[in-house]
Amino acid sequence: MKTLKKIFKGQVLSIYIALVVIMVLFSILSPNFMTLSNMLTVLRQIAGIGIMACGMMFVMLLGNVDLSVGTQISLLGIIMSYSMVNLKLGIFPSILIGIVVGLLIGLINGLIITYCKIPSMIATLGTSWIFQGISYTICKAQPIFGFPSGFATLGQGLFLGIPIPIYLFIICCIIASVVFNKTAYGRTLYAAGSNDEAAKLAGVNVNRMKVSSYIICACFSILASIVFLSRVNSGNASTGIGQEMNVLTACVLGGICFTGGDGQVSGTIAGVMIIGVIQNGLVMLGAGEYVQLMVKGLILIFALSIDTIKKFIESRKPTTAG
Amino acid sequence: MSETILEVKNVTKTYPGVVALDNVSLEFRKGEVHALVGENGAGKSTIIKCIAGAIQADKGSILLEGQELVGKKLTENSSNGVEVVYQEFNLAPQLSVYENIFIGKPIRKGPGNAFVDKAAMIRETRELFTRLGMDIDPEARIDTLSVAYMQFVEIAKAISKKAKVLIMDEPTATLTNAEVEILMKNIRRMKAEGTTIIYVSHRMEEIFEITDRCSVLRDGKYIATVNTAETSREELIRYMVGRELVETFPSRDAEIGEVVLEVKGLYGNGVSNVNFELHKGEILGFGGLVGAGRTETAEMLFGAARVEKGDIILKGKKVTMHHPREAIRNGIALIPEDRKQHGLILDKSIMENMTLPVFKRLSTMQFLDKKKQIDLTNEQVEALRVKTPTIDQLAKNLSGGNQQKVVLGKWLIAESDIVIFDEPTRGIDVGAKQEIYKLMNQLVENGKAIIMISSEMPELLGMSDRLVVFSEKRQVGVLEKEELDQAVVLDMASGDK
Repeated sequence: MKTLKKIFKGQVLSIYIALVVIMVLFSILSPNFMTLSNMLTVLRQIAGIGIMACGMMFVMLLGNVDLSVGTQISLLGIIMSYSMVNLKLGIFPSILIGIVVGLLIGLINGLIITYCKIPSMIATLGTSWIFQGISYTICKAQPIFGFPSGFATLGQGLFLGIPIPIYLFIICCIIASVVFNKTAYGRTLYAAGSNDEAAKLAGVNVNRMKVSSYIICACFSILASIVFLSRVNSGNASTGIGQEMNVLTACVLGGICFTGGDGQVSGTIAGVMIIGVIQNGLVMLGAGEYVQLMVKGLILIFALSIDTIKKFIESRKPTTAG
Repeated sequence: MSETILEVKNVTKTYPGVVALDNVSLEFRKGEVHALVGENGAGKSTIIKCIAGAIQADKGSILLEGQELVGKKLTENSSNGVEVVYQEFNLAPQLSVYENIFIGKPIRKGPGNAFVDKAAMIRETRELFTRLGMDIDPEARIDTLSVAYMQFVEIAKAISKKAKVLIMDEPTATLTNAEVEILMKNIRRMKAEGTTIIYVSHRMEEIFEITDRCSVLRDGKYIATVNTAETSREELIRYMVGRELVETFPSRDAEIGEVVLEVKGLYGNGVSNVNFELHKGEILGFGGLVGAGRTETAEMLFGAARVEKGDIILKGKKVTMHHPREAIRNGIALIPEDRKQHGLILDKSIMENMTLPVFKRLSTMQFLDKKKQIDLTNEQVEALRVKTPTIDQLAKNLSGGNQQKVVLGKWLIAESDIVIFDEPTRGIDVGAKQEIYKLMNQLVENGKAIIMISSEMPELLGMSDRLVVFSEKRQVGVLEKEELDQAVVLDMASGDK
């Protein structure tokens, strides 16, 4: 009971309540929403951004953000497609190339933010353009398809009736949660994000933490990129565009503190599910892509205002008479 | 007792344009409590940071037990046994107490030592607090603790490392009397165990209570080291300021007139039931510990915080203020504690800073009357004796005392008649303090009324006509001039009844 309380304390509980409310609302409005097959579709859709969100958390816990995760997906997808189709390198060598490039991307992001001292939001906005440009250049703005057979299984296959990407998402959540809560690295991440000066004075190499958080974030991007690529079974330079906003919204909704130092995987999972449910539900109701954008934008702004709203409510609490 | 443990030899440290430390040599003995005193900017914090390895000295050497420390990284110094309790809180607010105690160096377990041993850390933290005589829950989040408890966590963090040399930078600034006692007890215990403690403090009483020797720095230079038992407060102050200076408060000849501000049953901003009257020509002190509700009350008077209940009556008229600009219109000014952040625009000139609140008054059709601006500023610069070559000087290039004068001048131009000073002399050196006191006297002599929030007991007792004492977010009493007594005020402010 105590652990259950811990998991659902504070914002995490309210976000799960919000999730349930939204799901009830959609199931009333659309009879096809609350079916098993549709729920599996939702889960399959969120697996990708869920995996990315786990990576984003590493960066956000230090008070940074990675807006390039979307185009990282595009670039890694295009590179792996190119290697499989144009270079005919086979599945595993191609994935290996993807991993190497992915790690490099993370390293570059990390070095730029840490040593050029550029605010992460602007810096990763810059690198995201670069990644996007490279993707389009490699594929000449054409989709790449014709992957070796078997590659699609990863994204489309089922295990015990449940899509494989969902298992991957769950594994990522478990890994992230264990790292955040149980390991020295994870706890140092919280400490440095909460007060980097204190961490520095305690002998923590905060710069190295920053760089490593971007590399870890890129690792999750690599996995997400493989999931996206195999689900669609073709490489497209526009795959990842806009995904970073989904990931960011999910994290912020889930209570990851924008200034670092606070947040739990359980919250992020709820945030990711809300994004998935809303996307799916709006489609069910016949609302187009543009309505979705508007709704998601409103949610992001709302999620960022939660702290201010909380503080306002707190300030209105009457002073107890002494 | 004569064995030297830590030696600072000819250390020099310069920052662009400033010599922070000029060929300083100090020597600390094993098992002594050694005070480091000096005015703000004397170089105390810089020398501490050099010893801790947080910054590197340009020249000279620092020897711990004969071994060179200069040039080594932070982590190496702390494993060598030098620990620092910094003045600013170096705690991670969102983490628990035990994680802060072990910040950067958690107890590890498991494969590759990759995992943290939470149970062991909680156990050790609990033992540590029991030993210190403090009752703090190891699993509580830092941001749920009171300021004093945070300071204690900070102290416990340093003590837990079993340092050979423990440096404390103003450790008691936020502690209550009872907590200072606990700290003193622990310092004596550590001293008995052979730990060397370098104690930085402005509080003379503490220095005389706890320290064995005292080293004085002034303007980045080493001045003297004396045995505490053989010196006096006056001698120390003389070393600190470099000239004879008695800590006195200038007398004033102000006529206390009618009530200009009356506060009745005021609740809000976390503070309950504040009642007092402020008269023309009076300095009303607000005493109490940090976080006792003084600043919170001032914020309500200035319209910067919401009043929930109660009346603010200005010159017989009940007012409600929702925003500082309404307070300014009503002739109330607030001179904040943190002038660099809240009182001044550092990158702007004296003139712009002083005339900012009256831009509207000085302009016709949105065009500023430059001449009026210059005249008004010159008038105040002269009246307040701001030391500056021109009024175009940027605020950031002024000394603390002169910056304070600019903030004051701003409100004088705005024609305020109630001035609230929040810690008027914090961060201002002894000489400039005198001038600020004289200016405050001048203000009340000219018929203004002053509310002065201060944590410095001599200042409160020396300057106030009457004193409102706060404790734990409540007003605990109003003392008349003849009732002002340090022991009484401390007793009321400590709140442990």
